[in-house]
Amino acid sequence: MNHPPHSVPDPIRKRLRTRRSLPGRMLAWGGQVLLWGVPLLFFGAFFFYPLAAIFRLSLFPEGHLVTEALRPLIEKSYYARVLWFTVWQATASTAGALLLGLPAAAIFSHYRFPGKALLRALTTLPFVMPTVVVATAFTALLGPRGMLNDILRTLFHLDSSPLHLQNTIWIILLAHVFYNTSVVIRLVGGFWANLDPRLGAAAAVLGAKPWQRFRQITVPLLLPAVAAASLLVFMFNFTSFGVILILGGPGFATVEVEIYRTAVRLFDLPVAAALSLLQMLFTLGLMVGYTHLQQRLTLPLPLRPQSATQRPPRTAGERGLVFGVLLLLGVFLLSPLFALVQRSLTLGGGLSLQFYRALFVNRSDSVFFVTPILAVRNSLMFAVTTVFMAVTIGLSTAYLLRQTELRHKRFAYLLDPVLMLPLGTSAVTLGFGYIIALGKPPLNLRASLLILPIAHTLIAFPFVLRSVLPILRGMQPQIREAAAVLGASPAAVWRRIDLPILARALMVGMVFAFTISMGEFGASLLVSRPQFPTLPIAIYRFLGQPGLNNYGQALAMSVILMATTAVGFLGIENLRYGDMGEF
Amino acid sequence: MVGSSPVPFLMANQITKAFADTPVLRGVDLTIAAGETVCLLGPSGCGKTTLLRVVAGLEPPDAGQVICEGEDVTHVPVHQREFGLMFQDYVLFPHMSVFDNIAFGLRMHRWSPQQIRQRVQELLTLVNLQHFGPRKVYELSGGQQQRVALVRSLAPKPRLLMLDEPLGSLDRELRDRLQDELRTLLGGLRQTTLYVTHDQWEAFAIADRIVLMNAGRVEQVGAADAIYLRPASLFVSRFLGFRNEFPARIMALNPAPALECLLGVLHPAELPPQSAVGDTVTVVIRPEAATLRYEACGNQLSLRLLDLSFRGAQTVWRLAAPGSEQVLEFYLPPQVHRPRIGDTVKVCVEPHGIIVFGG
Repeated sequence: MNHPPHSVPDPIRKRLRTRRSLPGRMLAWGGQVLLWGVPLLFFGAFFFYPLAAIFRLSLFPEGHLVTEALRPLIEKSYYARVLWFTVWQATASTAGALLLGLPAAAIFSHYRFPGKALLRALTTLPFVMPTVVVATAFTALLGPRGMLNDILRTLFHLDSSPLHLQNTIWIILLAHVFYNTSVVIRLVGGFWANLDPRLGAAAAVLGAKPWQRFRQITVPLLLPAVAAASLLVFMFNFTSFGVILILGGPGFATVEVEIYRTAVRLFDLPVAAALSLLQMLFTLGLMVGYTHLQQRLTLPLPLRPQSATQRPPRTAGERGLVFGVLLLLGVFLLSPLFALVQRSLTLGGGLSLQFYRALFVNRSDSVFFVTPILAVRNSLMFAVTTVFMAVTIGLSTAYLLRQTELRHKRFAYLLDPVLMLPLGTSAVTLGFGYIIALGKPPLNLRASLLILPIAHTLIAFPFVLRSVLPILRGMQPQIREAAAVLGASPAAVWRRIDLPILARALMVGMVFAFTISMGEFGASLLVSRPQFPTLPIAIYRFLGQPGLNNYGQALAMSVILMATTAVGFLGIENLRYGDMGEF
Repeated sequence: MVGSSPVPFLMANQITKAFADTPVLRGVDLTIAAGETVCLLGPSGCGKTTLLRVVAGLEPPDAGQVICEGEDVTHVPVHQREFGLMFQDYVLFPHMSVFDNIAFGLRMHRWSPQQIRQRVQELLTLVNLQHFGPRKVYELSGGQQQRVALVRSLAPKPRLLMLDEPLGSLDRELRDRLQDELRTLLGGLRQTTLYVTHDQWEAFAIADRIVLMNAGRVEQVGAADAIYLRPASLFVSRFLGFRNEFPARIMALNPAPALECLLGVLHPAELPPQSAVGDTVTVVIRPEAATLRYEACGNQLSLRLLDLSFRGAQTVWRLAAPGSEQVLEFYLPPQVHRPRIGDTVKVCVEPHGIIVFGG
């Protein structure tokens, strides 16, 4: 220690500072503990612990390995049929989404035309729609009281509805295609749009005909993107729940639906747990495949800005093609949503707000103990709580991951997929895990209202993480140093540098979390409490009741939910800069 | 506070630092007097930026201490040191205007809004950017960004200003101009400054004193001309770009030192201490130490002209000793009558231009 000599003038002595004090070091240490502790605890308690409980219940119900619960899965041909149905409907739905999505992706990635940005946003809309809204919208379009049947009846002067699609495989497939076409357009189109057209030009100079260029250049380069999109869509269809439950009726069951029925209707928990295990194995396998393909996608391909790859359609043929595909796409994607709004406002052939008014009346014969509109309040309350928690977990995991990337790159490769695991876990499985694990000590949350937002947070926080992380990665490390040298304490650096720079991405993540929470159905159905129904739960219950009034209220509520989601989603589209997000 | 106060403004004592077992600083000493501009000069990877970051408080040293105005600041967190630092690529805050960038440090030090407005305006005027306050930083040109970064680091009146390759990302012409501006500015403010660069000409132009570093150690400390005229080691000589380097043997110490080499006999002004007759040494001849002269002189060399390269104020002559591969390069003023390639020319070398390194 060098003692200040006596010649040091007084004003300088006043500047003497202390070493970084013990409290200061504890604060830094405490920060690290918090950064690691909060997400780890949350993950441990609300993700791994419930999943472990499922595992235990199905395989070790009495402390040692018992395969009793697995036996019916193997012995009863019923479960084989469920699995077979799950696989083939997912395959068919994926094929349908590719059939419609690939031509649209080609058009979106090659041509510039007026209104493209809006159209692109609109085609993505179905994907963010809550599953109950999609299901209700398809009943409004194709159901026995649906818009299409109405039109056909009027046109051909029929007495009864000609289309009987409700509770058939067709309405399920259509809803799945509706849902997932936008995934194909977004993933494949996004990649295609940045593919260097000079590659094709180089092949042409070397003598390749247009068809050969397509076969030899475009297809092989595009294949990983198509495969990744197919796998993702397949996974969504494989774990489909709300659409099957509502549109398929009692005759159809995917593994996901079967988990719910076995657990809640038959109350056979060990078998439900065994089914969940099966489901987890499948989704995990699909996730691994998807991540693998994603890595292939990040091969160093010569990507070009979209301005260099796109042009307006020139010939009449091109214009006709663009117009035709877009019209088909628009009609297919918008008609269910339009039918939903139209039906919700129609009563006895005329325009009416009756169904909306009914939401404010607490009827004694209703399925609720409370005024239906209170479901809106519940949903909002849960969504706001979810946003708060998802931001906390999403931000801390983002910093955690970034820190690990900088210090222990290998470990980051491991941590990243672990943090994405909740995305690949089905919501019903998660909800089921909560029922069997969080309903008893040591962690009894059965009576707590928090259990619902906790489940929603697990589903929603990866979106906060994924929107914040690229910005965090892009930040110059010296920018914080520059602020610190200028006198900003670590807290001030975070508030004045990190936060403003992350603000937009954080907003995007928050809106995602909000809309996900508003629309979440599978986990909510299992863990929500009857006195506090959310919008999707209320809609599901109304749909399950006979009578036009109940159906009308389901429509009205779906419109409210759709509007909330649409506003949130269009907000995200405006907040995004360029294509900086990872999804 | 005048340059030679009894206690230097800043002292770094025996700083060591390693990154993942690779030593970057191996016991470095550094002193800076108040009001002085010290340049850390050296090739990339020599540890100069790490030393600067240790002084700034951005890296904790593995051993050693940093003492500022008599106070041990080794463990004082960076934001409490009241230093200024300008980064190589400026690192302006992209989400703030020019004004807010400059005002950032002032706000951190709780200046009043009135004072802040005044100070920022004063600084913008200083660098001729009076009307740029409301601009976004990404709307500025490279030179403008550089000036904003400079006054941002100057704004809170730092005790020590540090500049890390501040002209590194600019083109040559802009660099030369800003180099002079910077020198005038820092001199006018009597700002104590630590300046990091790998460019010797930049260091020569700006520094009061140069600390030349190599592989985590200080190789030589001194004024620019002192280092140029008397490089302390072969490393320094090579770093300065002296290419006329060849082996020799000491023939005589007294009355005048004499060396024997490929070129014949040379008489340097001095020899390394403790030299003995018969020692093998390395000789370096500075490129501007030769003149074309046909009358006899102490160090006259007859050389064959290999090549001439006209560079404006000077011409680079490439010459070779007869019957030898040893090539010499000399910078000479442009000549009206120049010899033809292959001719033999006679040059005289100034004794002080011959530097002898032992061993």
